[in-house]
Amino acid sequence: MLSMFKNILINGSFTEKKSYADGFLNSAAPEPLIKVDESKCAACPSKICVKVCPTGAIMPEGKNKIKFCQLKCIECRMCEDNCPTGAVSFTDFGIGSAEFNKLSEKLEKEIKSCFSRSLHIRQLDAGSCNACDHEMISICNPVFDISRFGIDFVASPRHADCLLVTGPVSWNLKEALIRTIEATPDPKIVVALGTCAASGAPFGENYASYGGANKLIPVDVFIPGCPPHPYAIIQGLLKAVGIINKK
Amino acid sequence: MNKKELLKIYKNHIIETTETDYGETYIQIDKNDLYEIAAEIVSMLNGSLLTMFCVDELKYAQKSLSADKKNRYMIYYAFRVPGVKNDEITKELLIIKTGVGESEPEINSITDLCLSANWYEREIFDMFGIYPHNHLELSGLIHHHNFPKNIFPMRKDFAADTKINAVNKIETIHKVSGGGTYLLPVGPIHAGIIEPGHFKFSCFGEHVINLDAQLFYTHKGIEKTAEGMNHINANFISERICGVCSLSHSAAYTQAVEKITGAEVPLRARTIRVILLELERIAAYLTDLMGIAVDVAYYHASTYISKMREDILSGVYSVLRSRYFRSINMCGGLRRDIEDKSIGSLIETALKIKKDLAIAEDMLYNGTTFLERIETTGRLFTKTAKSLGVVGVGARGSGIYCDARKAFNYEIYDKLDFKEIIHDKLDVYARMCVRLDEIKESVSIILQCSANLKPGPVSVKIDKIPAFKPAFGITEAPKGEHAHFLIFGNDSNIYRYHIRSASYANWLALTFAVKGDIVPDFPVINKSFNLCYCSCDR
Ligand code: SF4
Ligand code: SF4
Repeated sequence: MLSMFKNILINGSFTEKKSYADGFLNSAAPEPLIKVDESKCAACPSKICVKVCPTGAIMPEGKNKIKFCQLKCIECRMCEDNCPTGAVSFTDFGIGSAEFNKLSEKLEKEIKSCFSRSLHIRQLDAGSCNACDHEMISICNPVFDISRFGIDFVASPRHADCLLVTGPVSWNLKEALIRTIEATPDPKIVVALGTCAASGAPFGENYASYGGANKLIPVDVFIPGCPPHPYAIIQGLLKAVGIINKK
Repeated sequence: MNKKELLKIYKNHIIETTETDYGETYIQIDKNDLYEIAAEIVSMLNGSLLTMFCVDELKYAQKSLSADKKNRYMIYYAFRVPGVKNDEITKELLIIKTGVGESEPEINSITDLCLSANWYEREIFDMFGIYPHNHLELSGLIHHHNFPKNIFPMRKDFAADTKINAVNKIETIHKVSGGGTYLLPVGPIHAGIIEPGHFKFSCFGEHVINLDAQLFYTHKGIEKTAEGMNHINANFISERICGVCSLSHSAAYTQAVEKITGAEVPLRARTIRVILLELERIAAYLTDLMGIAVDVAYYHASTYISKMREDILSGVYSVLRSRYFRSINMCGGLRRDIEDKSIGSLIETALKIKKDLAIAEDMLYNGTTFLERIETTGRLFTKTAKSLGVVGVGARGSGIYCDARKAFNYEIYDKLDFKEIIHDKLDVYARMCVRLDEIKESVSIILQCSANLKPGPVSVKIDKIPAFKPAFGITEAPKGEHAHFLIFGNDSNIYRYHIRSASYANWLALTFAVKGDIVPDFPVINKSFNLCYCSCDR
């Protein structure tokens, strides 16, 4: 018991503090993961990225341009590795971001105004690979500590304001998914977390997978990433709260 | 007796023997001889079933062993048998296969020889429609009660995108009857942040008499999806079989491809792979320890451990730009070199973990109320574990040697000095101790690797993939031993990809371990085995 208190005194707090180095998050809408330098891209004749992308997230558009579909991107970075002109680059989430601070304050305010202090989330695994679920556990850890914004994971959909759906929705889970959605009181937000919940990529559509949550249920917000960085999840939740404010 | 002698005795029964240069022996036999030879392997050779699966050879276009429909379904039984050293630890693979005709899709069940065949045979029945005679308890495994009859998705003539409509059928349940007993259904959507599975506890008072687990809720047809993919894209699927063992799955997959193509992966790539694999193991073990602490409401320890876990994940993110060890491994080596500076930062992370672990150990070994809950809880007896074919920490906590790093010597593990930790207390506490000690071994492995790291290339090119050449990839993941099986077709795309994850082999053990314990102990017992649903269900 005593050593427990000793540890607490020695370790102090791990939570991300108010002073941050330069960061990358600067808008309420999730940033595109991928950035394309259009002038460099126009100079590339081969458009090899279209061929190497395993999920078809990049499509040619006209002669010199490419179109990027964020909802299908699994962040495999094949396009970045193979791009001959270096036109493709990725957003990195650095730990310690100045904007994160602003973002979290905003999130806190929105949650207060809309749900009187708390947003309760129910996790709903609809066939995920577990990484997205583990990131949900990560955002509860003492570093990201999402509960300080009034966000909490609850045990039953009947207590929830928000459902975080992961996975492409498997055939065997369809009924459970729909019944859980029905059990959640209105107003509710449904957030599809992760690329496979957004578009089914990379598992695709087959006899056992529906290829995305929006094929079966209305989804309010997508958080792409495979799995999304904890910052991206927080950013996505902020967007979700904004939506419910309008509902 | 050893492998050679056995093969000599049964010479007349063997249709064809294929020796490979990667230590796998494939023998084809008639299906009527199967039971006898399997019995011999189990009893005389002391073999244990690694995995069992079926390959539909309908589209073997080339000359093949069984282009005729008489042998359309080829069933593979892979056994681990003692290696040349003939000790308890090193193992080799002996694979027997037998053809089953289209007109008579039946085999003899071997469940009474090895209980672990139970699920494999049920899966083959669900996916290929091959009926196992004398199976101990045949019922749907992957397909739930509402799945229509006579649809067998893994057959080659079943189109992957077929839409399936649910049928109305009542579920059958194992019921325990008598005064004071009741049935407690839980799931598939649970209360915590975990995956879906449906459990029916038959209880007497607080005690569990029987546990009926309905799994395969997250079955999303990964094996079917992978068919027809090229070797690069399938790697991304293999990374996403399970988030916790992304790299271990990917390493098993690439190992199989490298065996088939004979690619010589450079030493630097192998060494870095080992560093990353061990980091993945540490991160996963920390998650488990965190789970064990949380499930008995010991939040002080769990919070501290979750901070340690975050240290690894963000340390890895700064180097790999992926928190789950993704997009770094590929067939033939690594996708890019990791500079020595970044390796240095990974080593620092590992050392930090070692330092913090001392504090965590203090919390875990000295929390009396915590120990009260986990000691003698969830005991898995050695005999049960052996007959069920349990692997990984679950087996090592019950005193069985089963570390694939030692048994199959992949990557550079044979050159490293580390101990295989086993514990004989059988309970949750034993499995916790195994994890804590293995974390320390892992740190030592990482240090050894970094000391021997020399500059050099990190990948070789894979150009031609031989058609219809089978190979296994086996890795020791945080959850236990993963076995992947691969055959490529003559278009250099995957013909059959079978994934046997550690959780698949261990799930039945859980239903035995909870017997006699109280219902509130179930979560902690579950966590102590760390069974995952996604890689089991695929
Ligand atoms: S990173 Fe995204 S867009 Fe690029 S190749 Fe991979 S899936 Fe396609
Ligand atoms: S989005 Fe990616 S990481 Fe998340 S569950 Fe799907 S496959 Fe796994």
